[in-house]
Amino acid sequence: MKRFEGDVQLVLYPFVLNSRSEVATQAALCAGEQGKFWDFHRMLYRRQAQWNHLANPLDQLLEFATGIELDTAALKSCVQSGRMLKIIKADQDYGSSLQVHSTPTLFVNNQRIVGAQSEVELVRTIRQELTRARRTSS
Amino acid sequence: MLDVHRHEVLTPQRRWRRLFTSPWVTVLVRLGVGGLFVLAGFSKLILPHAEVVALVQQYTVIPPALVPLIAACLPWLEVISGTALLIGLYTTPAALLIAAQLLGFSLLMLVILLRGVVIEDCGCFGNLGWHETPLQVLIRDLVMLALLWPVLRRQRDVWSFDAWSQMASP
Amino acid sequence: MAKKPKTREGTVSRRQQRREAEQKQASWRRQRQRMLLGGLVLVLVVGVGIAVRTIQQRNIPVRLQGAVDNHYTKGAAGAAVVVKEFSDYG
Repeated sequence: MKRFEGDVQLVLYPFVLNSRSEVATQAALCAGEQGKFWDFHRMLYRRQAQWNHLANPLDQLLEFATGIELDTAALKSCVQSGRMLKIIKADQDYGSSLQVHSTPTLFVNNQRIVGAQSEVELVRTIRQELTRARRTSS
Repeated sequence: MLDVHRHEVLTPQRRWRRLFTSPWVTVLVRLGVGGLFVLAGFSKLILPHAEVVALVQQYTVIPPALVPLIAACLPWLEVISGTALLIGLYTTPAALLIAAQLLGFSLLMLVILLRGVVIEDCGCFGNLGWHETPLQVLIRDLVMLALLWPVLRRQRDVWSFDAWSQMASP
Repeated sequence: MAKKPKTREGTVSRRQQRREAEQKQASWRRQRQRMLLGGLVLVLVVGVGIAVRTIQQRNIPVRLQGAVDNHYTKGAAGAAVVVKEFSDYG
């Protein structure tokens, strides 16, 4: 991202595929209310092996949340209230309307990339789109 | 058992062979195998091309340079060969084309299994919700290959474009 | 010894030849009809495939235009290239 600063914007849409990631996504969005979304987001991937296999990973995630100075009581209350589910459902519906079936799926402008592609492939697509966008604007 | 019309002894072996080469068995196999291929092809055609590319890419033994070509051509090959077999149009070439595909898929699954590549869903039927492991696919494809044998050895065509065109033949 | 009537032999042979020619023509007609009709069915099926694919993908560029609001982003707003990432933590 740093390479393309000013030229590229990344927009994140959590696309939940199972109940475990639904809890994790709610927790991440709730962490966002405390201004710590990206910290929590990075932590979820860094420690994926430690929570991903649990049927209900909330307690484990709350434990990790203390490491990034989150109010865990507020976090727990937010997740249990279920108020983030509307956002999650809206993102799922949006993804379905775009025929997203698996993750990760990226749209670089209108170019769809499915699966964990190499950085080289992603950079190539971004460069192609940048060239196309500059050609259109000139 | 004595067949009073033909005056021949029907051993169990002969009975099975007669059943096996019955034109109606051929019709059932054509409808089943052909129909399955048409379904498989269409299930990939309704997906975005990048999704099909991702499905093929999970078979890491396939050279990356061939992946886009396979993803582009395979759904159409399945639909066209499946339709030809289904309607009985140039039945033998269609059956051979399908047999070649089944052989290719079977070899691919065998290599995947031997190399221990983990694939949770083969993607054979896109996102229709029909999930199969490589072992299940291998077994299914070998069964379908065996089922094509009576089609390739058939004595006559029924309920097919080929049968209709043969009606006035000398 | 009486001679065999040549006329009748010739007629039988010509009749048979005519019949064989008609059968051959009919057979070729059927083959042509098979190719045409069968080909038509295949073309129809391919056409349905193209239509299904086109219809499914038609509105996606339009749908990709919106829905950035209320989502977490990185990078400059209004950038020339927008990467929308759909990902799952699990």
